[in-house]
Amino acid sequence: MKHTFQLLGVLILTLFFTAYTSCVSDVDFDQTQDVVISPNAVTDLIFFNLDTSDFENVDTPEIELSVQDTTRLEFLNDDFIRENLIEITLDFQVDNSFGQSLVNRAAFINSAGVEQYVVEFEIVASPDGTLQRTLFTEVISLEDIQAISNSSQIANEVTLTTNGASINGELIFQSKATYALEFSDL
Amino acid sequence: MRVVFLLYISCLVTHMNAQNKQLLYNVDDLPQTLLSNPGAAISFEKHIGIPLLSGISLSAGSTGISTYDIFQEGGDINARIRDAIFRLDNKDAFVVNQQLEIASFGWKNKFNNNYYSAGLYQETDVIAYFPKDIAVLGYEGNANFLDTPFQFSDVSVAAEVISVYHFGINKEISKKLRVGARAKLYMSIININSTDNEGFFITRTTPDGPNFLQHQIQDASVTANTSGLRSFTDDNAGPGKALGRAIVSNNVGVGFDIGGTYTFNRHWTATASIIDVGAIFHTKDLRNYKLSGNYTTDGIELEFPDVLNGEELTDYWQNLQDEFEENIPYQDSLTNSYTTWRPTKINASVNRGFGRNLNGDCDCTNSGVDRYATNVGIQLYGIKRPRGVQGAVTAYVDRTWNRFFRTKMTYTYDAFSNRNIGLLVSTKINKFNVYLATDNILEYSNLAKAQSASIQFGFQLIFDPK
Repeated sequence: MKHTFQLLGVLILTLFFTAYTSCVSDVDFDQTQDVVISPNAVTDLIFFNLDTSDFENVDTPEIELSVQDTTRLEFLNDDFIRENLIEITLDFQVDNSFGQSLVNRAAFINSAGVEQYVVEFEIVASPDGTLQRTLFTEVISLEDIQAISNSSQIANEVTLTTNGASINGELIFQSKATYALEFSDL
Repeated sequence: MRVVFLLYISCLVTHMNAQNKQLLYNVDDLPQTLLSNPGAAISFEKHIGIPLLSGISLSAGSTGISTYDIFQEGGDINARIRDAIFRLDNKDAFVVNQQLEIASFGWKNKFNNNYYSAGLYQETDVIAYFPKDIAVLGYEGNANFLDTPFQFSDVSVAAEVISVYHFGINKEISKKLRVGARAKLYMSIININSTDNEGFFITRTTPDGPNFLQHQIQDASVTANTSGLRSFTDDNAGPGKALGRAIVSNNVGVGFDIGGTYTFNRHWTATASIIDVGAIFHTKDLRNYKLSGNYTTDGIELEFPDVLNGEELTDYWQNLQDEFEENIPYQDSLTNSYTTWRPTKINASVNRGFGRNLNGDCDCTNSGVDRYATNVGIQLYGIKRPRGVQGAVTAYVDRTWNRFFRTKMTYTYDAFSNRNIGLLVSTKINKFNVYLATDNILEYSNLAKAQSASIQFGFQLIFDPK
């Protein structure tokens, strides 16, 4: 009987000692401060097609014919985006069969209507009426992000400069934006 | 945010294998064995649990990862997180289970020799599958995963807090066969269930489309059902409400356990049981959340209205929002009734007893029932989960050293671990019994490396035959 209780005591003590001394070691939970999550999200932006009729309807005697439209993009000034955005890459692709050269001007505008950032590029003219492709990429780095993230609208203007030839053709415009985000304050 | 992240990672890495009570199964002098097999062969005539202390069980497990895998000292934690996200798949699960016996008692009827047992216990059960596709989308974004669908079905979470009234009968049919059954009345305290989600999000490249890409949500049906939660979140109900529901809830379910023990000969026995065949019907204090539908967008198409000739400006952004909400409506105030099935468990075992016969070697004294001091055997366990059955196989050595002291040592192989050694110590002084069971004891030197762990202990009065 005496030995039984001794054995019992030893085993229970061992079990409790094991449980008591069990620990979590060789780990460092402070490393959460080093955690950086860096997703890259890509979204379509604006797209449109223009043809001869869009410029015919522009009632202007000037040598430069422009069409313009504006849309809100309210996710740009969202706090979540604003606080974690580190780079935006804007990609444009334009297929043009107009014989005139054109310029695309995309202006990022804040809620007061003030331009914050402008992306402008030339669209190559088509020498023979076939579609000519223009590719343009704008990388907006951290120092210019603030301007974008203050914006809530994009105003896109296409300007055609007449050259004496008849205005005849079409223009197919595509765009997308890739957002490099970084979450580090977890 | 840090707290949320830590909680998420903690959930990711510290869950333990839940519900498998391999250390208490087939231990014939503990009343808790009746909760995993109502037809177990038992050696006592009456038991009374110390209220709230007779059965306390905590267990949790993760099938794919440990705390150490992420938070080990040195190296690059970001590389480890990325590796974990891509290594785990949507069948990896994080499971937590807790049980607390509130009341427990039983007695043997002297006229028919049936053993009746009853009680009330509270249980928390949580299972969350690793939402692989959603984790990849959140961690990496969609830019490098064009034309890859992100499945909403990867989101599968079930959590419940219930109390269970139960009453069981354990009956000896013959010297060879003992069977048992237990009726259960479930009282749901809180339930959260989101397990039948469908659909996917994809960003397609569209060389022939109107824009670079096309974003699609296809066949989406994402639902989260809750019961018992609204009164806490909206009405600020306190712990008293939960306590009240533990006693009587409006969301009630029914179920049963069955089991048996078959004695082949003097040394060999087999057991089997099915536990928690039942459902809970959620009809009150409901709140359902639902997103469903199809939506496709190529971006915003500018129309360049001829404003000078009176054409109106188009509010493209508003149109986009309206179109999305119309096609993927988000409903957050539904109160639809729903039913959840309990995670049904199965147990089976083959046991060989040898050594000293605790009932005595003579048929004249042991009533033809052999009960050996040493038992070895194999146990099988399975639990039905939303994505299939999780199983385990256990080998054990069970030794009754004397009338005061019993141990059971187990080796369990399952999806959580292949080196799970467990130990039960049960001691009885007069009628007062204390038991303590814990598994994965090899990992106790550093629990951070454990993928699962469990502990069960309790205090009760057990009355042996005179």
